[in-house]
Amino acid sequence: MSEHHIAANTLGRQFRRPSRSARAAGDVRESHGGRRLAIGITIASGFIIIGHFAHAVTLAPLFPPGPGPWPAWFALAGVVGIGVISRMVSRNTPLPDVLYVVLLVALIVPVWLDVTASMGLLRLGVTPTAAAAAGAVLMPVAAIRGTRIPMLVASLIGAVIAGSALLQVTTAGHHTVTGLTVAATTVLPMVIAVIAIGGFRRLIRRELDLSLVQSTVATPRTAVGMRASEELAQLDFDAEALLDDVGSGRIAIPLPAEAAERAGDLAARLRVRLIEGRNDTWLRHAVTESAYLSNRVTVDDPGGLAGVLSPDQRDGLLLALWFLVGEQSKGAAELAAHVTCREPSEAADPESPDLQLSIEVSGVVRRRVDPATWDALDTVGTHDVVAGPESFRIDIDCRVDPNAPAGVTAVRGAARQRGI
Amino acid sequence: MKRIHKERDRLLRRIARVSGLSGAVGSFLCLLVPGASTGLELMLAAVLSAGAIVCIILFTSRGAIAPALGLVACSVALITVLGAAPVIDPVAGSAMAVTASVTAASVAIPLIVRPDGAFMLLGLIAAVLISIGVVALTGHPMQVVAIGALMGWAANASIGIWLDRSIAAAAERIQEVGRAHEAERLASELESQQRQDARVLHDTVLATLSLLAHSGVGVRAGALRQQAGDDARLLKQLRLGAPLDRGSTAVFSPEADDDSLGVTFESVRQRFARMGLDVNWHGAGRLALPRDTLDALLGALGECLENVRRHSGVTEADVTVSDDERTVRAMVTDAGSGFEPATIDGARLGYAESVVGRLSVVGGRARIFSSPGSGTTVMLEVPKP
Repeated sequence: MSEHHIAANTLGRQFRRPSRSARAAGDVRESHGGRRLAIGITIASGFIIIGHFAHAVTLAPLFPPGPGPWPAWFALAGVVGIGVISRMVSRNTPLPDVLYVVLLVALIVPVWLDVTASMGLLRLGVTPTAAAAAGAVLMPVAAIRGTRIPMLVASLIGAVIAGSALLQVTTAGHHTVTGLTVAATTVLPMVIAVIAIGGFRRLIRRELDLSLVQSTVATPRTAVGMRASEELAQLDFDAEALLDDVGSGRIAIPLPAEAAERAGDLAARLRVRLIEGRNDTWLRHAVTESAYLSNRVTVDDPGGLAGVLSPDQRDGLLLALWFLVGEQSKGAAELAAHVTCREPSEAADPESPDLQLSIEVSGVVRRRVDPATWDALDTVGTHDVVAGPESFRIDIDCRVDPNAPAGVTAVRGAARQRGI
Repeated sequence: MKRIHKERDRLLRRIARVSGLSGAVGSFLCLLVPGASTGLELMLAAVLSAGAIVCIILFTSRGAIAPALGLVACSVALITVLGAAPVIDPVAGSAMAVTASVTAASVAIPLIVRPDGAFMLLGLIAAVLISIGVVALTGHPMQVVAIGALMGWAANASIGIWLDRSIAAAAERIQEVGRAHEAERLASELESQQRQDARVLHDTVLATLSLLAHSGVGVRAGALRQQAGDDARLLKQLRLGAPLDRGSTAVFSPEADDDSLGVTFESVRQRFARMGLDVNWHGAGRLALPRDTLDALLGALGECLENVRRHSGVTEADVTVSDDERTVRAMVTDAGSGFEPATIDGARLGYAESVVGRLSVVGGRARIFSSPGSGTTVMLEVPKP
């Protein structure tokens, strides 16, 4: 491999890093697990459709002579059949939007046939069945495509069924309630499916966030962070290119104004990058990089003391912060944690702890805190809680093994059991 | 218990709560329709519905088994109470169907993921079906209620099962992504560590870039070109991670044990010689200092010499190195124009960050002695290990 080639590869790999993690993250949500959930919801909707079909069978003798509820069921089977077949044909590519819209609009046919066929029969207890099943048909659609439109369509179908029941209230009497119940069972499964899909996606997003942030636990005592590290590499590369151009004579001396300006700019930025980050630690990077911690946790650690914690202690502290503020979704506005790292004043005393942490938590009362928080804090050090009216403070005394290396090698770090 | 399982159970319980509460409230609302039920029946139904709601809330907030059983018991009782009437009103029929298929069935979602969940569920649905069967034996048509019950329990159980499976699959994948990300981070951290550690290299690069920023005025074109070429080559070596031959490129990070201040200093001297400043070296040539201390001292020294080159107006400077038991001192002296230290803002980036900042990281300090017209002396001090 030529030298040039190696250079391009080395550089290319560096700058793909974050986007690669991001792509893998999206991949988890969409295909791994997401597909299984769609299967489960399809099976559930299958049971519900079978239930409605069995209901139709019990109602069929009550219909006046004629086709009864069956034309609507044939129409529903037709729409579902076209949808399933085109989905199988298109395999991995999503259905074209036009076909999707056509199929949704086509659901009007079974709903209409069913409502007109059962109209006026509610006094006998006859309710729409295929129309209710059409609501369940939308559940897998919600799992594969967005949840909003299927939810809307299911609500519309429910409203149509409810409306047809209310129109017959004078003749049907108490059977109107039966019609309204059927309308409700059209919408309820959809609501359940939407909650399940939304909850699953949220759960995966959060777990992924925590998992990516947990990688900070294995970094050395001071860490520059992934962004800064790439910027430094890029600055070095730009400087190399400029110096090489000057060295090889491609840029004349004295330098043209544009090149001189570029050199000055590079020098200024390189200087800042080389000096900064000496007191940045894993904790600051973990908080900055997490979508759930970054706007709720503040870190006060001018000396970079959090860096002396061992990987296990760091993991415990990160998890504790996560339990305290990362997981609560309600009242997100006032929820906050402030972490302070200090060296004890009587540092010479062998009895005194090596590091004192305190976490000031506001926006959540102590008894609502996940008990797992205290387990996580046990790995950090001995802690006690000072409760206040609106907030509470956790003081942690940490002991640090001075001989243990703060950073671990890549191999050991990756093999270490992560706190999950 | 794994944390992700806790999260999963929380999600399953939330779904069960929505489903169970809508069932319990819905069936009770049915019974409020005027003329649907007698006074005693309505009272019992109200008590049982309230019991069901309490059980749902208890079950879905903690996940204990007892309230789940209580919920199914309340549902079975409600079906039996409603079925005991001589004629079942259509409203009561709807309430029974909702109770069997929505209220009671909501427990299926969280329970199915338990190790013994399948058996427990079979037992519970059997209880519900038996109560429906008992009502049917008294001559009431109960097919719709039975169909609804089977439909609700089966659908809920499958949502629970597949939600569990999809979370397990995703968790596995998240672990992989997390491990890959951790390896990437450590690699990038190591790499930037190497870059930051190559402080001496960066000092010469910064010095050369500063020269270029001034369009290279005041330096011979040939010397500048050679310096730029040397720096580019070193940066490339750093980028490719190639082993650096420290013999010939001592400007790279020196190791504490086999490199001395003098040898490393020689490269600094050469660098300034090319740019038109002659540096005379006096004093100790061999000092055992930890690597970061040595780097800091050399870096600060380079910055001081750069200031001499730029501002003093002379082409010669002296560096004197001395040490005692505790400190190593380097004195940079020039006979140039000098300045009034009080008039220089101490926070100016050049001096404050590159000299004072560097030294204070390793516990050292810097002092300036100067007055206009009588040259400048900068004293750099670093502690010995």
